[in-house]
Amino acid sequence: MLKIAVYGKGGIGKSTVTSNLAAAFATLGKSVIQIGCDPKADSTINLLGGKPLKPVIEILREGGEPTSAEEISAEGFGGILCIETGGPTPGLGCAGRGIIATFNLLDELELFEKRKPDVVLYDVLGDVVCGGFAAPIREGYAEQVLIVTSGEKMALYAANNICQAVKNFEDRGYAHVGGIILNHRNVPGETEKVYAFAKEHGIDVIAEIPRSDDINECEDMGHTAVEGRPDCEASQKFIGLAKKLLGEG
Amino acid sequence: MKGLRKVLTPFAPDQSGAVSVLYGLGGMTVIIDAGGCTGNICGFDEPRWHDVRSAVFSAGLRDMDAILGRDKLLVSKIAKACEKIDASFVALIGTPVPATIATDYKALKRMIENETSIPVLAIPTDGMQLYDEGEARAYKALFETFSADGGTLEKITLGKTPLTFGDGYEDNTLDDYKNIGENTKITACSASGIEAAKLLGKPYEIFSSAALEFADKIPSGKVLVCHDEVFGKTLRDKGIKCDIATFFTLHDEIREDGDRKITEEDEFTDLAMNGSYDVIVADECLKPLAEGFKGQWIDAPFFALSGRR
Repeated sequence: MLKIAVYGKGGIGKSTVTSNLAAAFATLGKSVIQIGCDPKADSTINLLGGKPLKPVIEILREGGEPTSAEEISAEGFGGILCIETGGPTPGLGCAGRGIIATFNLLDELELFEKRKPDVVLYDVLGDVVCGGFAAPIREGYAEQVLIVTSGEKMALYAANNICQAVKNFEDRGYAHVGGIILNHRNVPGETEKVYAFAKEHGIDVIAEIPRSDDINECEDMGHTAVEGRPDCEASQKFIGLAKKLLGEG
Repeated sequence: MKGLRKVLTPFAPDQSGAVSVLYGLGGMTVIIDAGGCTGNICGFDEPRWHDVRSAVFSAGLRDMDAILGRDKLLVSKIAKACEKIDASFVALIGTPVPATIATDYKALKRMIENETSIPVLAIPTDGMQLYDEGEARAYKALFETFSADGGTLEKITLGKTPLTFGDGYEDNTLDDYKNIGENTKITACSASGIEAAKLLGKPYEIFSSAALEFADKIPSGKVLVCHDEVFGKTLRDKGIKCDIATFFTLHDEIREDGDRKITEEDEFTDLAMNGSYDVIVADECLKPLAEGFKGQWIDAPFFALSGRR
């Protein structure tokens, strides 16, 4: 089972990258689970035809006691099982704890044991700000972290924080950084900056996603580019990345 | 009103159950709390505390430990203690504090084992379940850490802790757990014992010798037994026709028509007053909930309920 957590600065395109990657795996015939770990709960929306999924915390808030994965998930494009952790009302409670509560529930429901997916993707909010947001890279969950960044200064700053956090966790048996996905914003010197960053940290840039109207237009229709325009350049990049991660590329 | 306790005090929680299973095994037990849970466990839920020595400590968490997630500080404190105490294992017992800040027990286990080379049992209790569930978690950790194939132990009793049996408890040794084998005769004598026996995946008998002592005292008539489920089942197996009510786990393999898992005080009152029972066998701490009950009450102390030994 391939278990991947996608991290990166807020707004850098993590959900877009994760969803397209999930769709790419599905296109290659793999059984995929995508878990959105963000209180905004919009990670999987473009796998579900633009329809938002009720987050787990919302179900628990209403007093629900789910006894099966079906009650907290929905199947999207290519049979991808979509789950959103969600979180508390902004300004209240503890969002990180919400992620842990969801993960505990997934354990109780034996989701992975029963469904036996080929790929699990965790789409994690912005930065590793507390224990809850590190939960996806704890032992038993993701085994590798993919960092999404552009050449923008603050995106690289966040990427550096994520690398540092993963390094701090070395003695805990957590996930390792598996690579950088350069999501182009077309800022000056972008490619050079990102490759220099990658070299400095000893990490490979494993994919470059071009700035693409295809992605935006497909998202406007509630789809990933891989679903809506599988032949476009961006989609092919995602499919290439999926093959690479599967060891087929 | 749901959840309102007017008579009963809170029952022993899961962390107390976990400590209870491990108390006599020669390990070092570290309760991950600020001190209050440890005070409750040692002062109220562990009757051996004043009589039998055991290395039970509080992690002594403070505000900044929670804010900063200072796991390494805890690891170094435990490593230091291990230099002075000859512990055969270290047990980490969860409480509401680590549950709230999402402490990673697997990571702590790995870090402490790397530092001390002593096996670590990480038990993620959270103070929100009852003691029998904590006991079951402790058994699970023991089996996972110490039990291996090829053991030659003749017999073992599971679930006979002071929380269910007061002074009639029976400790196993760590070697017992290491030597459980294919032919070990397993007796589950409480709800946690059943859960533990299931984890072993071998045949087991369900029996409580403590319950047998009551068999001759129970007159004929319609009987309600409100205690641990195995207590009731043993009486039933002895030929006493009774209904079982329990505030703790009621397994399907024990449940018969008329048996009930109860949560609220009012549920017990309703059963006692409207169930047409001639006899109630239960801890007398429940008596105020059945004021006006005309039948015979046979007192069966239940430490986890009342703290009576």
